[in-house]
Amino acid sequence: MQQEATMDLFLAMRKRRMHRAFSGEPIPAETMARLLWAAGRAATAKAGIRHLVLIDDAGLMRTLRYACPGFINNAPAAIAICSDLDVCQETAGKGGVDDVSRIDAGTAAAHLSLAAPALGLGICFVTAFGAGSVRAILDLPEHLRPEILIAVGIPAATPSQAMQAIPQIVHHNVFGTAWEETT
Amino acid sequence: MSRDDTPSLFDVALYLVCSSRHSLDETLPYASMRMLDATGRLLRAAAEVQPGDAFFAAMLAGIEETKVKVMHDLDGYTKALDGLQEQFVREAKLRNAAGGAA
Repeated sequence: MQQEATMDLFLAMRKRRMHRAFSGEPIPAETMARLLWAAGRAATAKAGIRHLVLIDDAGLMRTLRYACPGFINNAPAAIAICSDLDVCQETAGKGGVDDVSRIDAGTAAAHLSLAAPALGLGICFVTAFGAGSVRAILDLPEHLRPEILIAVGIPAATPSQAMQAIPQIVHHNVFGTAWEETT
Repeated sequence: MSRDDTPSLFDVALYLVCSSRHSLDETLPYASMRMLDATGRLLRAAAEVQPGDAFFAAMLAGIEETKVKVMHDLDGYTKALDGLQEQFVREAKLRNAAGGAA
């Protein structure tokens, strides 16, 4: 698959947002393949920790929308980022299960959030769900934990409200001393 | 959402059960938002059996606009919820005074 750049990285960062309204148009297979490639390229502690489940079956999507309280959007597809807890345990012990798994899922989610605008897609992070519900819907084995659902679609003509201004979060040398941009 | 996405009463029940469980792990404002979201889903389901109800349509629009405020504007969410509550109560008075089922 050819992976030419379609958007400046910093422009993608600026355009990144959570979408809750989608057009309902299907996502072209090639576009979805590129999005999944982007997620797979994200940093991971070890191959085999992270698994992605693409959901585009209408019946399963409908079930997700009503079984996952945080699924407040009408996306036609979703990507479930899951962790293999057995591999996490083998790789880094308790820290692997508790922390590394989440970080690995987070890096993939970040890649998806940046790749989506470059591909003309919108996404929405969904974190409010019961792991048992998602396991049942996706037939996940017990050692696979769903970490986050990423709703994916083509944004509606009227996009969701943009995020508010980012608060001051950068400190200089010690916490509490604001970092001042000097360039 | 498209018509195909109109929830059935089963869908709404599924959402309520799952939200009831999930609300135990969430903050109080988010649990409140789940109930409001469920109300919106119920109104969409009701539109199938009671089409053309202007009040339902108006409230649905208000609910959709209100529910996302909980994520970034709790005061605005609370105020909007007060407004929705008042509109529902006034509508209930009208419907009950007319002697019909709401």
